[in-house]
Amino acid sequence: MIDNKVEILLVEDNPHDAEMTIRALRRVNLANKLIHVKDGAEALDFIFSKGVYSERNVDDKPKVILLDIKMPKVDGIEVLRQLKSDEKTRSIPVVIMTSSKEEQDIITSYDIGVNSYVVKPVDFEGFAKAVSQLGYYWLITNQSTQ
Amino acid sequence: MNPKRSKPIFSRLSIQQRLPLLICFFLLFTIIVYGFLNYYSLKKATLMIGRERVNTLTEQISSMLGQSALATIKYLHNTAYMDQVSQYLATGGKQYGRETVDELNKLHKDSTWMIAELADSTLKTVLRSDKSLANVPVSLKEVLTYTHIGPDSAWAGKFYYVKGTTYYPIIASVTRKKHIIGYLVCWKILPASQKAVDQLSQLMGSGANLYIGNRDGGFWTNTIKPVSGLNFNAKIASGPFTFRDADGQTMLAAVQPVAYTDWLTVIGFPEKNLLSGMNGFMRWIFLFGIILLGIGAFAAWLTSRGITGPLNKLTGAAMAISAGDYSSHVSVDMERGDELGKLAHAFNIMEQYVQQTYEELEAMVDERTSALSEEIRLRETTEASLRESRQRYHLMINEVKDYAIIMLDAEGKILVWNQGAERIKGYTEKEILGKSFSLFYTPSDIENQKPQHLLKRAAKEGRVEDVGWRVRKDGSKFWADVVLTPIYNYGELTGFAKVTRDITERKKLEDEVAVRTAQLEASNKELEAFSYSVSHDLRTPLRAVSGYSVMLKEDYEEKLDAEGLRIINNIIINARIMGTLIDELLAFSRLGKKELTLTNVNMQQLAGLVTSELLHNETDGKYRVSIGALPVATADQAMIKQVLMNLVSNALKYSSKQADPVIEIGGSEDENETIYYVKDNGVGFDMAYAGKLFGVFQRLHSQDEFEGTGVGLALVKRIIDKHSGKVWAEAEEDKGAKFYFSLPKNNKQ
Repeated sequence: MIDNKVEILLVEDNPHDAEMTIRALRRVNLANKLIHVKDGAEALDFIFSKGVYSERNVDDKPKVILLDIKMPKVDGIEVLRQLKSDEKTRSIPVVIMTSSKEEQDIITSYDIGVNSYVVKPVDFEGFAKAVSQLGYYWLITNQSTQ
Repeated sequence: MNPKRSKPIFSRLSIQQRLPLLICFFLLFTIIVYGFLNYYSLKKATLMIGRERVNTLTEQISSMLGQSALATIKYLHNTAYMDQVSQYLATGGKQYGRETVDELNKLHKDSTWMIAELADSTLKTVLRSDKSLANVPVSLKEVLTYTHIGPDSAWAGKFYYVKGTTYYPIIASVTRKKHIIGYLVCWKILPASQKAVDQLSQLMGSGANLYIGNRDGGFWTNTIKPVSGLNFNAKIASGPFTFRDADGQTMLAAVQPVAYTDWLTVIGFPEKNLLSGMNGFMRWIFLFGIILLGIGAFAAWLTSRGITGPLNKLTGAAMAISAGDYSSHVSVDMERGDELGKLAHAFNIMEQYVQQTYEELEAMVDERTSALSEEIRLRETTEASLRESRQRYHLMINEVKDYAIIMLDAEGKILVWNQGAERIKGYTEKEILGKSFSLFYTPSDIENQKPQHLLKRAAKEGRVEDVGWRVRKDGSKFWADVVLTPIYNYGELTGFAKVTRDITERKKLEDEVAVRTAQLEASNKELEAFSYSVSHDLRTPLRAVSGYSVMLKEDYEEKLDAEGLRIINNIIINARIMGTLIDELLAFSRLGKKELTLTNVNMQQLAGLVTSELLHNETDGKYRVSIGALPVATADQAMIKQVLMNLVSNALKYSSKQADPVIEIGGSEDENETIYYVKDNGVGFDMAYAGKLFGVFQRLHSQDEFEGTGVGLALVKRIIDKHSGKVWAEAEEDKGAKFYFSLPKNNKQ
């Protein structure tokens, strides 16, 4: 495994949520190989090596994608749909992280093939706990198909 | 009489009446024919005799008159033959004047000799008797134009009626050397007295009348006075003839000229006088005929009675049998050797047989009658009750005002119409009976043949219900609920029962409810959208507040003094409370759109699970929780768990300050519902505020006393409401509270 390989792709438009997520992951030392993109369009560019990420090797897949739903331009559900409809990216684990407890979003996400769905707790302690558990699970416990 | 009816009348008569009538008819016929034939032959004979008699009589009288005239003529003729008369004329009146007058005077033999004159050959009167009483009524010249007098002859001339007296001349020619040198003329009056006439009439008999007249028929007299109006022509009448006299009666007459005169004699017998004897004879014949008829009729009656008597007897017996009189022995006692006797005998045999058969039949009939009367009694009872129930049913149907109950025939024509139908549809029974029920449908329904389709469907499916617009008599529409049911009679479709309800009001309400529901759904959608934005947009900044306060505390704890730490801690705590508040509020609002998934829930197990989930802290050991025998609930498992969770956590919370907190979970059930309760011995509450218990954000305790958002019980109520159940509480301050909720069984939601 090459060190500079991205392990976590965080797709989050809210900078405060992103900061808290990164802080929680750093606490448990999982934030070293994390890249944060600000919206869905950028996330797709990164994954499919387009736009500013055209130089990137498409085969370097992140170990997990933490995806917010409500974002400008392309929302999380659309990103998930494109990822799961493409052969090359289908196997990447995606965790939806959202403030919404809207059941329709949850159902749609699982229909498309999301691997995990997490509602962000309001209080920081709960949030940090949830994020660190996610990081542990997808980066260490879960054996990826690769 | 109408011939059509006469025959039936005769045929209606009995033989006993018909036979004498027939005999009488033939007798009468014979008598009448015989009478008429006799009458006419007799009449003919009588008239022939009468004719002969009148002929003879006329000849006799005429001859008698002729002789009488001859005597007079001779007398005059003798005078005319005298010398002095011819000498007087020959000398032109110069000689023998006195002698001639003397001779003329001698001619006045009686009072009938009125005038005696002598005329010369120029017909001029030259001498006149002294005894002449009057002037000559008619000139000699005129007389001689009618009566021709030859030389040396004498004649009686025709009658002249002058000034009420009948005269006739007797003329004799005075001849000298075979030349007529003058005429001797005497005028006589018809001398007859009434007495003489009557005597003559009596002599002739049979009321005979004698008429004497001129040969030219111009004058007729009965010898007393002139007679007019004799309706016959004397010139052509010869021998016997008949005429009608002035009185109109038919006269049998004969005419004869009288010798030496210009006269005719006619004698007439009134025909009725001649026939009177014959008529008397006819009366006898008629009387005899009546007597014969009477005897004949009586004899016929006796004979027919001899025949019809026994026949009547037989008829009576037969009638008695046919009338059903079999009980007494009916027979005909008749000792006769003729056909009727044989008939009676045959009848008696038949009667015995009939009676025997009757008795057998009677027994059978008695047997059947008792069975039948029982059946009839049963049927009458059934029919009476049927009739009664039919009347009740009709009364009931008619009195129903909220439903139009209509009976239709198989084609949909209206047969029965109740008051409700009149009220709802506006037609009276009188104007609607016999019309088609399609009258109540809208034009478009009629065009689509909806009424016919409904009848077909009802007949096929046994019942059809239709809801839609119908039209009243005044053209207004109403929203109707119609049920059509076919009526069958022994498997044949005879009609339909149609029940219509006017549900226009209900339809209005339903429409209103539909509108309200739509509005409500719209507002629910808005609420959902609101919830979504709250859930996402409100939580995010709050999470930032919470996150950054924690980061501040973590990163700058050493630099903050005690007051700074207290403040930062309060920020963190309040951010957490607000987070909880938002989460619970969202949970509450989400319930609105959540669908119930009803299953049979093992409440006892669920209560155990909830209790163990809630009692995980070490300090929780002080609670004594007892779970009773809870009945199985029909509910949404997740939601009902939430209810138990909220109620039990409340119980734990509000009894947490007790030294010996006791929680009791129990339940019961009846036919319709299951009831559960959660009881604690905590602080309880004042029942005066019970109404506020289940409202959102409503709290009876302060945050300092007990933490809480005031959403928990509101959520409980909302869930139980969704299950169509009830929730209520009993409590007393400082003694504890008991919260109940009930769930309906077989909840179909």
